[in-house]
Amino acid sequence: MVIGLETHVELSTRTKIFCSCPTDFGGEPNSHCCPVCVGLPGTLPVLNAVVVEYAVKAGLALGCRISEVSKMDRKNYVYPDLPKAYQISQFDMPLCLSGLVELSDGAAIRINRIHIEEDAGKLVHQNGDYYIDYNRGGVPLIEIVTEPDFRSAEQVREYLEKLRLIMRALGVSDCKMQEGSMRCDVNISVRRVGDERLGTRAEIKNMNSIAFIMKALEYERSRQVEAARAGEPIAQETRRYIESTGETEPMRGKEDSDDYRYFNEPDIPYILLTKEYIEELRAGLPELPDAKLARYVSEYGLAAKDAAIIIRYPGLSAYFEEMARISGAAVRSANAVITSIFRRIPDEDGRERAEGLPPAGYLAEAIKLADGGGIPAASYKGVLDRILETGRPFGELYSPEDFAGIPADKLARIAAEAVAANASAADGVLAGREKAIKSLVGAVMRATGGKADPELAVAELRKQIEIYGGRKE
Amino acid sequence: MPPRIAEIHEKLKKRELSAVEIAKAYIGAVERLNPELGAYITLTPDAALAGAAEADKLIALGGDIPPLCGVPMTVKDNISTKGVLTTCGSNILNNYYPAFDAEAVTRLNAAGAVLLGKTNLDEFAMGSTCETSFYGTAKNPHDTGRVPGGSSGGGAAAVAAGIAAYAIGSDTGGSIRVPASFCGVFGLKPTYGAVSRYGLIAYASSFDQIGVIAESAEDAACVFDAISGHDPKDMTSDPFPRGKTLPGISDGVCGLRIGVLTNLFEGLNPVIADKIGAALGIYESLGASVEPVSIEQFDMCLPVYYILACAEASSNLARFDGVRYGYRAPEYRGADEMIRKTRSEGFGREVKRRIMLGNYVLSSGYFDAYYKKAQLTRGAMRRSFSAAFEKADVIVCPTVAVLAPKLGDMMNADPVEMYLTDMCTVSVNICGLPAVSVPVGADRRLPIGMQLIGAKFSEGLLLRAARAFELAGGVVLRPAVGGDPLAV
Amino acid sequence: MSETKKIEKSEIKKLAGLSKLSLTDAEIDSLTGDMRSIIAFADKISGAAISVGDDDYGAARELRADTVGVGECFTPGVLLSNAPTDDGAYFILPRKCP
Repeated sequence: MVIGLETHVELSTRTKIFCSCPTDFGGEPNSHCCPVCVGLPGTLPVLNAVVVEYAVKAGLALGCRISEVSKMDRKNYVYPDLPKAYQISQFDMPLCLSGLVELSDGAAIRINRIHIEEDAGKLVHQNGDYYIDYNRGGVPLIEIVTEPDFRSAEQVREYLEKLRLIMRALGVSDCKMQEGSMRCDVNISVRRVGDERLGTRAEIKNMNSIAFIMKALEYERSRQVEAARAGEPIAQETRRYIESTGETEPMRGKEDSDDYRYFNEPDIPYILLTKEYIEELRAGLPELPDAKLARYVSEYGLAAKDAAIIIRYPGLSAYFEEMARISGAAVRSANAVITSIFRRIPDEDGRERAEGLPPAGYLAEAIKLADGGGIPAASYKGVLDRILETGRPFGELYSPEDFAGIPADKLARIAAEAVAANASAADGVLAGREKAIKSLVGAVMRATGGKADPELAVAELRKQIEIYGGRKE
Repeated sequence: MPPRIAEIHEKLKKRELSAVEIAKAYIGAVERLNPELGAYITLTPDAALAGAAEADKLIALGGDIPPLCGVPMTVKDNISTKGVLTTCGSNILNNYYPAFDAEAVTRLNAAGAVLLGKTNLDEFAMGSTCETSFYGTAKNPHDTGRVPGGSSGGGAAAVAAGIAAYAIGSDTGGSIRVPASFCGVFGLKPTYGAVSRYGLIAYASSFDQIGVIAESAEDAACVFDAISGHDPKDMTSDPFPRGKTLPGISDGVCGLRIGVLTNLFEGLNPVIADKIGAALGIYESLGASVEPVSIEQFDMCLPVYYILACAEASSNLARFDGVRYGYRAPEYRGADEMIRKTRSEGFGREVKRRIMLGNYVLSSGYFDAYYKKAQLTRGAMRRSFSAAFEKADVIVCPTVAVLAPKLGDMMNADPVEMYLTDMCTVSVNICGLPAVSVPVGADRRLPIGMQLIGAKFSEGLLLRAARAFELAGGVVLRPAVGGDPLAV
Repeated sequence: MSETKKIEKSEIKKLAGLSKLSLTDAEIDSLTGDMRSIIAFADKISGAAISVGDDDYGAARELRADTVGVGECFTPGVLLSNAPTDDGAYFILPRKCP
């Protein structure tokens, strides 16, 4: 399988690329529009400085060469969501060229180019008629084009997740596929192992979910391999993914194979960037995911796998670093995030928002205490959970006696009492039903007001159960 | 003779007439003469009277009266005027009312201009005779059996006949200068970028400029000073501040180096050659020097122009599809058919031809041979003119190599015949230079124009040279139709 | 173009499609003639000497600041005011003529 991706990323500027209309999502139809983005006669595009800035930052973060001279071009085609009947894009002199994204398996995905362009409006079908809303028209996009360097669907997934992480770290896009701020066209072909030449490729357009992309790739791979084995030709065509079946089908052919008749946009002068401008942006780039991961491994001693998980959520990463700083125990802090916090916030959205967490210092304090032996190992998890749940610090939730533990003879007595009161449970354990011990543990915990160490309680109960068993005989 | 801006200004200043009285006189003149001349597509007497009333209020306050305040004028119908029908001379915009003013119109409104109406033009500014308009042909006030020139024919006819004191038009390949020449008035096409194109309904974006048609060099300077200057809504507009052109306009031409464009004198109509020769003689007597200059590959200018302008036009006009504004075909099945029928019924023949040529030269397979080649040649011509301007301050040649054709002659000829009318003018738009057409005489009452071409942003110099000839040349051209609407 | 090939009717039809024009057969006939003349005229460019000079990229421009426009507010009503069909909110392109 040979795959290339073209990813459209919506830039999170305040205004559109060629006019000062707001880019806010939603809103009444045609309420974020003006004569320029509706393409009324006599209007002219005026390029947004921050669009160029964001595109250059994206290019720098992906290792691209930034063009000091680039230009805009017109891509001419007719469709009702395109008000000028041409899209202002970049054809032969894009802003960024020749970048690279490295994946965890060592694969190097080459970025062919990144260019800026405007988005089209939205067309909805109602009773067979077209209803057109130009709010999205003119929203700035960057198009990131890779070489056909992907060899598996997993690589595609990792690339897209990494891309999203980078764009969000840069603050240039929120890359929310479900909201449409990141969309993908996937080009896929197959060839025999060892074959140098590329097979005919099919293009699946406008994919806006990583899960669907994975399914589509799987379907395409089998479809193309089957066709190749049967000696049937694979058409170079545009296909669409069908959500309900997980299959792809050819898109209804456009009547004229579009000749876009690209030529330079005469209303926009050349975009000239100085070396100083580019270097200033480069110097101001935030820490990117690769660098962060490396730092987590070297500075904090985290396992790469754990670091990779944490850096996916910038909010939680910051939280982790704060915990590590205060507690001085980085690995414990990381584990706290990956186990306790993740358990508490099971969904992606929540983890990205990282809201409702107590100050990092509270958890860090508990970690420090545990390290110093002030919290028994068995209770540690419960303490963290309670701090997360209540949002209060250790000192307000527990007193020193809570972990002083139960004296051994008192525990033995309570355990014996529990066994005596729950003979059937004791019989069950003797008979080999391990689960039966739970009710005995519960009884002990209740009798000790939750202060018994559960492990010690279990150990003591087993002793008592044996004694009980011995008595029976 | 129609009054100039300064004359109207004097009358207002001296309180001889009020702005409303002046407006009424012009409105009456338009009503009387427009049916014969066909200069206007839309009349706006109410707006004119309202504007004039505002002007009178300002004048009543005492103090200086801005030079254009209360002066009745007109706007070519491809320039957006808020709330006023703007047709581009086409059926496809027969019901289009812009929601905004063009920047040039905004600036003139701020200067107190009084809008008499929208003037006739070749459809979408494509033509050299004003005969492709969907709204009838305008006529030449010097001989109503002949064309006024195009595409700003209505504006030139209105100014020549005295039914507007000045007109703003657009010039893409000669569309201000050619009609100015045929109608015996002054026409200024500014440097590309000097005047904002915002609101000008685009024909060819890298050629189009808004300019002035007026009775005199001073009038042209006055209007140019009001409309020129950077506009952030137009990225191609000149970002640098330039001096005003009116102050030094009477400084004369002593020491001016004039280059005569020899490319255009071969086989030239002898009467025209004669008049321009006489003009050059006058310039010499005023202290200018005259030398020949020639531009390399000048004979390529028409193919370069038509290839590139039509390419841009095919793209600029693709948006007219009956979806968001304008004419929509009444009968169709399906969206695609609606769009095709709308355009086929909405556009005239010349527009269709130019759109098709544009798509032809841009289509894959032909792009390199036509569009790319023309772009490279354009660059070469620019360099050639730059070199010429090292030896000359102003380049002189005829504005048009022929006299105004009879109505119908061009429309019945091969389409290429009409294109040849622009031979003297297109190189100016190709290179983005400023140029002015100056009346130099007539042949059997048909006006002849001389073209002065300058280096970028040298409008001041051009208008100075135009005025110098105006004062010394003694050219008086009375139109057969029209005159002074303020004459008692 | 070394020799001028006469443009065929079929190409004119394709060009009309690209230009989104519907032409009757009569129109195609007359346009073919017109276009042949016009293209022959444009073909003169083949005689131009190929010259490449210094690229003139023009002056660097200051680009627009990213602030929401505070000027005139264009409501949907205003933007839709010239629409042949609308419902006050959307531009409407009916599939069938009304």
